[in-house]
Amino acid sequence: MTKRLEGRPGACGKVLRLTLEPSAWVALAIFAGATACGDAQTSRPLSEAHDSHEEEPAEHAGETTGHGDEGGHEDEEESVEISREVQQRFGIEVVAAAPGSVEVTLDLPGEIRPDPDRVVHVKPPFAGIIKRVYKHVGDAVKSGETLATLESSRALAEYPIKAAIEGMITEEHVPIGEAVDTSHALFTVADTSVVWVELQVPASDMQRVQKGNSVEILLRGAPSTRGTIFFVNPVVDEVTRTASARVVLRNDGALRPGLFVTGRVAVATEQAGVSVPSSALVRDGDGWVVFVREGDVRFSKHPVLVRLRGLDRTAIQSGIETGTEVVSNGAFLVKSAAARSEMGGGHSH
Amino acid sequence: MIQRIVNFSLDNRFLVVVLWLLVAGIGVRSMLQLPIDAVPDVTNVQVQVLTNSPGVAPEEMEQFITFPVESAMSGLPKVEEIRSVSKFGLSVVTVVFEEGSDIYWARQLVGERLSAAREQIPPGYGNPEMGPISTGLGEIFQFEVKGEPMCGDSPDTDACFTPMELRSILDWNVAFRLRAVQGVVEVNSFGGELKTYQVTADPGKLRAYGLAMGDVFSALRANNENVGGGYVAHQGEQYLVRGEALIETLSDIREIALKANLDGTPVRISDVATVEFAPMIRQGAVTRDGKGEAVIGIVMMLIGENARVVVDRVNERLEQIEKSLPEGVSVDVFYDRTDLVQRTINTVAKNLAEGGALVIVVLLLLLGNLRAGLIVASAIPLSMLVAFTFMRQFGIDGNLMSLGAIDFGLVVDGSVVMIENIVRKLAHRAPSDERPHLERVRESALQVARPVVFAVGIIMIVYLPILGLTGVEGKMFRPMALTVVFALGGSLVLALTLMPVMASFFLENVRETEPWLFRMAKRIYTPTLGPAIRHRGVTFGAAITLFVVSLATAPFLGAEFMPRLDEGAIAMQVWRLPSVSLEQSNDISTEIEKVLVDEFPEIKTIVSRTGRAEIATDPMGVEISDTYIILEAPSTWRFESKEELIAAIDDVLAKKTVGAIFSYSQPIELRVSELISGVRSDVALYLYGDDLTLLKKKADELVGVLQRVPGAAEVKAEQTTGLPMLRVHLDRRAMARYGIGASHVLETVQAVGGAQAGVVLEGQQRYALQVRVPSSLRERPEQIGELRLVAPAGTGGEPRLIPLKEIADIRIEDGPAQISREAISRRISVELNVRGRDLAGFVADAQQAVAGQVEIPPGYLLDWGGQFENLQAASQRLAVLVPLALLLIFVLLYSSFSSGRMAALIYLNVPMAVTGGIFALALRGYPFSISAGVGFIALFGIAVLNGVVLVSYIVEMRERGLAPDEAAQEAARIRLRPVLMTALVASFGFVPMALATSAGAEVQRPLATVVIGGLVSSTLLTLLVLPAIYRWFAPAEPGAQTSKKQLPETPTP
Repeated sequence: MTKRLEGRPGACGKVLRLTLEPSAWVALAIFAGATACGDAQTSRPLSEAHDSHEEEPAEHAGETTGHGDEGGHEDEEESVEISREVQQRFGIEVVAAAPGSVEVTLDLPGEIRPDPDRVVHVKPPFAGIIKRVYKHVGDAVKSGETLATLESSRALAEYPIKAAIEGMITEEHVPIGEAVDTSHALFTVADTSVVWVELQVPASDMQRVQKGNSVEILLRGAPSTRGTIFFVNPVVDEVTRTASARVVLRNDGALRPGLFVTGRVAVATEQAGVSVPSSALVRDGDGWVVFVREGDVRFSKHPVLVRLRGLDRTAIQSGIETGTEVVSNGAFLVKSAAARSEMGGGHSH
Repeated sequence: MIQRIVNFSLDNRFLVVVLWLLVAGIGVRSMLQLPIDAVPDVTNVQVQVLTNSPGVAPEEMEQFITFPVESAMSGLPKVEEIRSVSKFGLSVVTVVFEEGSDIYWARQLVGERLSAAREQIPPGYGNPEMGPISTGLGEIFQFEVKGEPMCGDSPDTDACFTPMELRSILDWNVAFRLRAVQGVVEVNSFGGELKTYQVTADPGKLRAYGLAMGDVFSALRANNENVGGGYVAHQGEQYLVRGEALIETLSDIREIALKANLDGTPVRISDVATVEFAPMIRQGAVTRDGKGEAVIGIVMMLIGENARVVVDRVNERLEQIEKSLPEGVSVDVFYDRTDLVQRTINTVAKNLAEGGALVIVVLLLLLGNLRAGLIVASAIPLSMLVAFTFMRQFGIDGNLMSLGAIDFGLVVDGSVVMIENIVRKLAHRAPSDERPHLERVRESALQVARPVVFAVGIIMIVYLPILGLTGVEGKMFRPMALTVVFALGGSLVLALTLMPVMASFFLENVRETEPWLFRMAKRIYTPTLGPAIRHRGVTFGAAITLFVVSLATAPFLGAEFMPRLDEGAIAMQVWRLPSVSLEQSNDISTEIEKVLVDEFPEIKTIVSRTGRAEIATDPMGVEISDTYIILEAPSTWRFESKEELIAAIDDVLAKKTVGAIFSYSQPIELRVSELISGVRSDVALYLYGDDLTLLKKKADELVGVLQRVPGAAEVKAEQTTGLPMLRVHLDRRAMARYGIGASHVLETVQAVGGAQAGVVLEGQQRYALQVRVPSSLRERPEQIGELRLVAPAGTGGEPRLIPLKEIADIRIEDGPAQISREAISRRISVELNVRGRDLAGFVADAQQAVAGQVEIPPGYLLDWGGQFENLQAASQRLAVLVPLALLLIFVLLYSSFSSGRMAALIYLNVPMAVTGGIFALALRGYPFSISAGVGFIALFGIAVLNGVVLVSYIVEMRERGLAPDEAAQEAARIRLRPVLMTALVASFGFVPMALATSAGAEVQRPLATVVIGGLVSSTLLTLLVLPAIYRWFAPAEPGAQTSKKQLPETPTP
């Protein structure tokens, strides 16, 4: 604080120094120092940051204590006071850490496919000539319903050709009066009340996507539907080099085979003993910290060990207890304030 | 020579009058044309090379742009320094040329080398260009473009305005036309949203059609062209042929075909992408008065132009432009340099008038002759006009430094001595004297011509050391010294030519009266003088004691290096942590503005410029805002001074805001310091080397060591890291497996921020055409790895969609926020100030500590610099120049008296003057500053002048055979009036400045205080101590002293 006052134009008396730029240096000093202790140049793979269980606690413990050495400052527990009024003005909010369900999701591209068991290609039982056609593309048919009649070239009698399953005619190739043989598919009858979603799982995600994972299928222009992974193909497709994960879904008509969809797979879920909103976590050097409100106006920085970081909530392994009030909104502002007061106090000797 | 001038003037009186009228005419013309600004321009001769390359990280900026530009620039002649900063999306290389280099010449050199640099920069990395030809004083005018009503959250219709529309109006209807105004070099647009035609391509849909991101780029590039086809001749006529396929509308883009499916149906852009207007990715924004974002324009003035004239032209053009703007759009000017210029002019005019009036009053009171007073007073405007003419010729701008600190007392001194002598001689002529009036004037004029030349010459000489200052100090004070020297030169010529001529015209029948004031002075002085001379030991002892006491007081004054000129407005800098996002920065700024607007009725308006404009000219990150606080008139304030107001603002901000810290400056000051951008601390260490991490580590070590050296304060390392970075490092083996090329992947990475694929023309207006990934896929850092790339079809299959993370290693790292370079090497600086001990001693200690405790790796170089260097250089220069000037004065005195003793006696006036100056400073509580130093210099001149006036007369008395003491007493009695007059005129001329509170007062007050205080003491001491101790210096035998030079004859009283 003293330093900042000295930087003001009114307070002269500095021996022989340019007063052209009175106090930018103070600002720099504060931030330079803040980064000196805060942000070592190290890196972490993104996937881990986002990913489920973080690596061994030992490494993290080392990080959190080692942190701060560089700037030559001590920051056992940085804390800062922010008045009620300012909290309100800047929308700084706290919530209590609580048990909760944490979910990590993964978006995978996929395609809707008909269930192969429910697609029937209707073929003539023997060679003959098509006499009559009763049903056409788009017609719903019942099992056993006659679709067309065929005149046997040998018996010269008409035989009905019937649907084997209930469904819709999706294709027809029935030239009236033309001779067809037994290899000619006359109709395709498909039952789309149940469809498959084939999700493509790239190599890097194959470990995480497992049978039984819950999946949300996102479809452009339609409400999403939920399902579970029914089957993950153990063999990787030779062309796409992805494994397919299959979700079986009931279809009320929106899930049209052939559509591209996105499957949001819940690859890890956990009922965490301590969890906080993910917005409460702030990167600090290599680790994560949260800011804890103590009393009404005091906030202090607590390094935490993250167990599982989900989109909305994050499970905390250690560092804070259930019931601790952590900053859920405006954590960056509190971080800035802490960095500032730390330096202000640290330099006035 | 001197006599010839006087004789010539009196022989050609009308010619002299005509010539002076001519000089006055030229002077008036120069005055009107003289560029006037508020403060001196201390910007060095520099050329900035700016390269904007949106979206490129600091390291790539350095590698691909900064380095080639720097190496192209090295080896240019007269270059003092090449330094650079590489930041996210911006590279700034500053080439500083030697002082006095011609800026256009410098730019030409840089321009020539720039073409070589361009060849070294890979395509797509931007085009280096020179910054505007402007200086720290360039931002003369700022305005907001307002629209009523704004759309806000409601949908954009024709009835309301969006920030994007306002920005387009500013760019194309306002700024574009303002640039054509003479004297305007650039109009920068800032804030709002820069419109682009954006193709938001959906990777999923692209895949569905078997297309890649690159196909979109190539389709856009291939479908946006007009060509000329020459002409066809037909029936004796000639028809021009044009092929037209330029994109004109959004739907033109939508219709562009990417490919045709096997069955012939075309796949168009609209099938795979949304085409819309979207803002270009930005690194800055403007907010105002707590009401959110604003769109502003900043007018930059060409170097060397006259601010008031240019602003007038800008205003005139703006008026025209405003009429043509769409209804509801208005231009609101919030910063206008002419306000400040007007204040400068007012201050100077006020000082001129008041000082002049006081001088006339003093002359009247001491001389008792109004006409003589008026004649002398005419020296003030005439000398000023001469000064204006020379300023114009030498390219010195008028400002508070150059014009604000002229002492009109000094300017009239020569004329005072001249006219006083003429009046006295005319009044005391012997009845027998039958010579014509002109001849008597001639005689009296010739009598004092030589002392006048000496005296004014001496005053001019004392200003010479100031001309030796360099750097920022030189730029502040040299114009001031030069202006004074010009004015003094004018006044000297005036005293020798016009003054006798005027006297011959208007002072025919003068009677010398002894006005009341003079009688009073005499009545007090005469009885005091005798005892003073008798008890010379006591007198001298008292003088010495006072001098010693004053010297003992001096260390308690404190010192301040440079004065700060009040610009009226506040420029506050707001700093946040470097990792802050622009949105968060804006929110903080808006809250700060709200708090200030609510709490301070003194504030007229607040505009925060956060980060930098899309086309940047200064390397500011989004963590910094330049906040302009424009104030109401000081008379309406609740605070006594601006310092108090700033203290109150700081206090409120500390209590009511969070997430930022503040520093306070002024608009011009801030801009200038950004431009000269040298190290401003007392001591700086520069560490040069290659590895950024190692540099940072060593800098931190240095901070640790230096902090422990006694006297170190505010030790800090340059902030270079702290920018979170998402690195997508491609895995070549993985790419090979999928058959994907790097450029293909990188195109997708580019499309995260928006990659330009061309330009869309709307008439004259040009907008970028960019391709971007949908926002839903780039909201969170994690999503970047999930972006899908389209790989070519495998064996017989369909094209594959591969997540980015499959073929790249994606990490979040703290990367360098900026890379500073100097002398073609990466550099990190550690700065500190020194408190409570001398700089030289500290530096020696610190150097020892660093050498012992910090190991500098091989290949790395440590260099010491900083303000202490400049200070040392300045003091060394002054250490030579000041004694030199003093020696020169001594030589002048010696040649005038042919006696080292007399010269030494006169020199005694210097410590006597210092005594009063120091006491006056102490009394008013001012620190010692360069301003005060200049005051002392002026003071020495006048004090020496007084000594000359007195001693020359004593010498004369001795020559007539008087004993030393009698001669001294007699001379003192007779020379009381001229001594009092020069002293009083000089000090009264400074009274308005000493009491000034208007613009420029910061510089004037210490200066004027020193002169007034010093003159009081030196006059008293001249009149009492000099006569008293004369005997000690006097030659033993009366009349033994022979004067080789012609000294003034005794005027017969």
